[in-house]
Amino acid sequence: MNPDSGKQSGDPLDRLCNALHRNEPRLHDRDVIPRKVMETIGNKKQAPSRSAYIPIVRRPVLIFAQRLLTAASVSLLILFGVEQYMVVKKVNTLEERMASVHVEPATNVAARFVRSGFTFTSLPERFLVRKNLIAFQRNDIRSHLESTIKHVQP
Amino acid sequence: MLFLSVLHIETATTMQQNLQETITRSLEGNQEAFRSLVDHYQQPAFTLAFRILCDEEEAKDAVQEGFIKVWSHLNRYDKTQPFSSWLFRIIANCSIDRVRKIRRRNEITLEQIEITLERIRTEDPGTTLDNQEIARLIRFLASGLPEKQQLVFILRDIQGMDSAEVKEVLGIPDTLIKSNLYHARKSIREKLEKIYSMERRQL
Repeated sequence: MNPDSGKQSGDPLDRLCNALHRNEPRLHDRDVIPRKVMETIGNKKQAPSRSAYIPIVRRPVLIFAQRLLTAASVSLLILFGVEQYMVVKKVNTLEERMASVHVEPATNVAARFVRSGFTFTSLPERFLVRKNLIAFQRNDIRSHLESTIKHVQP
Repeated sequence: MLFLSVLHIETATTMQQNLQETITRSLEGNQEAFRSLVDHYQQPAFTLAFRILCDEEEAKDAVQEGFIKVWSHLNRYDKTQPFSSWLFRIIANCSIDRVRKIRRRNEITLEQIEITLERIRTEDPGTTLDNQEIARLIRFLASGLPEKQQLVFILRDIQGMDSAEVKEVLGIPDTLIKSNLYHARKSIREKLEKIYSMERRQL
């Protein structure tokens, strides 16, 4: 239903709506609202803030600056994306190459030392500890073997 | 005849230009220009507020509040949009805020409604209703409906706003506007049917 149509349809609701749309409530005293509004505005001494208003002349400059900033931020995003892709690609290539290279056990050991953060000066000391440990383990095994043999032999 | 129509178009264009100038001067902070804007728009603003609030004093207060808001937020007005749409949106929102606060006394009698309905039904299409009759009739039609249905019905069917305007004022999607309007009309039709059937039985 369109109240603007002004047609008198048979539907009672349409007739009512048309009548209500046509009959505007009348404002009898037309001075009251403007007077009260102006009083309130005057009392408040509240001039409209012009801070957000931009003169029409400056608008193209603002629009240009806005677009420039948008373009810059999009370019930065693309740049970071490309850089990230390149880094990941390089790391993958490096890993592939590393996997393809045959590594000597000694090199492996040295690499493990380097990764563990050992310094060259501490190497002899570390080796000594390792050597003692191995010797201890050997002695342990030997004593185990001897006791077993004793048990087995009548 | 042609001369008259050209004159009419020219007058309308001049009025529109004057109004545009008044709006521009108001935007620059000119209080006198703003007063003439209030003078120009107070009647349609009052009509809208009255149809939502169904109370003359409340409607006047809502219009006053709306114009004060317009003045203090002039810097937010988008010049590319019609001033009237922006103003009516503010007035409608002020009225809706008020309608939620006020408690109405149920003082409408069925007799009064029947008289008004009879006048509309039997008299010529140009029947004039006074403010009280309008208020009573709108309140009767909208009573018992949920708030959203009431507002959609008043704004769409009585005020004659289009869907886009109602959507902006109430902030609800088109589908919800349509369904609310459908249910509101259905309930009101049922209510009217009851009254008419009672009348038929009395006859």
